[in-house]
Amino acid sequence: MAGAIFESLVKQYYEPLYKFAFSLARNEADACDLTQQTFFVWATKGHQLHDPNKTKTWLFTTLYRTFLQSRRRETRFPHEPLHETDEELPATHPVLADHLDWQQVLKALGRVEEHYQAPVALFYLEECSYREIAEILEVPIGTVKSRLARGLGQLKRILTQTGTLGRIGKAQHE
Amino acid sequence: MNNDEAKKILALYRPGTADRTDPVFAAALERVKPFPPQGRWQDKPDPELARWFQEHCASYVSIRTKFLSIPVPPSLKDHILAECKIPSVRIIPFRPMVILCAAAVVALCLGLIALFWPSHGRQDDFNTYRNRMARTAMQLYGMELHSHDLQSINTFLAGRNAPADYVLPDGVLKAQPVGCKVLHWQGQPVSMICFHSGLPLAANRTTDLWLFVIDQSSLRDGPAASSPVVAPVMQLTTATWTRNGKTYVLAAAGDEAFLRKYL
Repeated sequence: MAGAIFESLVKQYYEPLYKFAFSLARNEADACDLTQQTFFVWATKGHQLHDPNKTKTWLFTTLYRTFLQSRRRETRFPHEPLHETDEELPATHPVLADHLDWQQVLKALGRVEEHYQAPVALFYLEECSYREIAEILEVPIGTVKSRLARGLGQLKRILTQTGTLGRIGKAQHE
Repeated sequence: MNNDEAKKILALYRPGTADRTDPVFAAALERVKPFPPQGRWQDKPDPELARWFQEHCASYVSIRTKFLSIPVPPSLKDHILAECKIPSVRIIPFRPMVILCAAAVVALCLGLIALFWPSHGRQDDFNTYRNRMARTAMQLYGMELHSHDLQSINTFLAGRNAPADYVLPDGVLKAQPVGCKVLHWQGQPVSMICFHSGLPLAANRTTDLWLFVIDQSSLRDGPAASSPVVAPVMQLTTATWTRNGKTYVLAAAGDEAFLRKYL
């Protein structure tokens, strides 16, 4: 019975977890390790979770913690409430991502400041509410939004450069 | 709410999600609706804001599509299920004394099983560890440090609290170090040191020899022998031994004769 529940859980979440892991680690082996380690922790400690509605958040939190541990990122990032970053909220650029593939988008994410990468990945990847993202990252919602605002701004600026350069290169090639 | 305020809020809006029901977003969304909710505008809509919002939504969908198209290894699910088995547990409501008796019987049975059949059903055994390390070697992993200098590699590993005081077999000293990476097994650090034998490599490869070192105490049933035991694992050949509190797995992309040159 427990095995069947576990299998169903793996089936439901291994793909989004892997994609989140890949967005953070940006290589297949580490993303596989992070995903496997997450389910290993679930297999050994998942019974401690009493609210089944928290399963998704629990898995993503565990993966993110494992990622941080693997990078020896023990220092907590400072919280930045939204009002402190008002002037840095991004302007939306025209759609350039259409000209890029997922590798280029992830490469651009890799150039975003490291502590903005996880919120940005969760923003795009998984339909988590802001409350869930805050639980996964273990920071207040205001901090999620301020990090997102900065991270999205950086990502879009990088994508704009990448997309523009890509189109220029393509045009020259043609 | 003016246009600038609406933009700041809507910059974090994700179309097609539950964001639309969030009261903060809902108020800002009123500013970009084509028709007023109650038949009249409270604030006059701005065509520039509406165009900006359209671009924002298109940009979100486009980038999200890229994230969703990250390919997932087809074997990942099977690997997870193979390595993370959990015991079947059937919970039946009993009175406390019955539960205590049942727990005592179960504990006794588990003790007997552990005593006479220690490796049965466990997924944290040495074979699983060795398979995991071999699979990592076969994948296109990313090294955390690229270096031909063993001293630099050891400094890096020590800095990550991974085993760095290992002893290389004489044979491995003939191969060129290429770099290293720190892995984790059951939460314990594993040093992965990558080498190149000098022979031609497969496409996209820079290494064909991998040494995995873990503290002996981190493994439940690691090899006790200090002389290497050779065994094929997947497409690799491995040698395993334990010496001075460290357990070693040397994996090679070749046959036993190839591997033995590096022992």
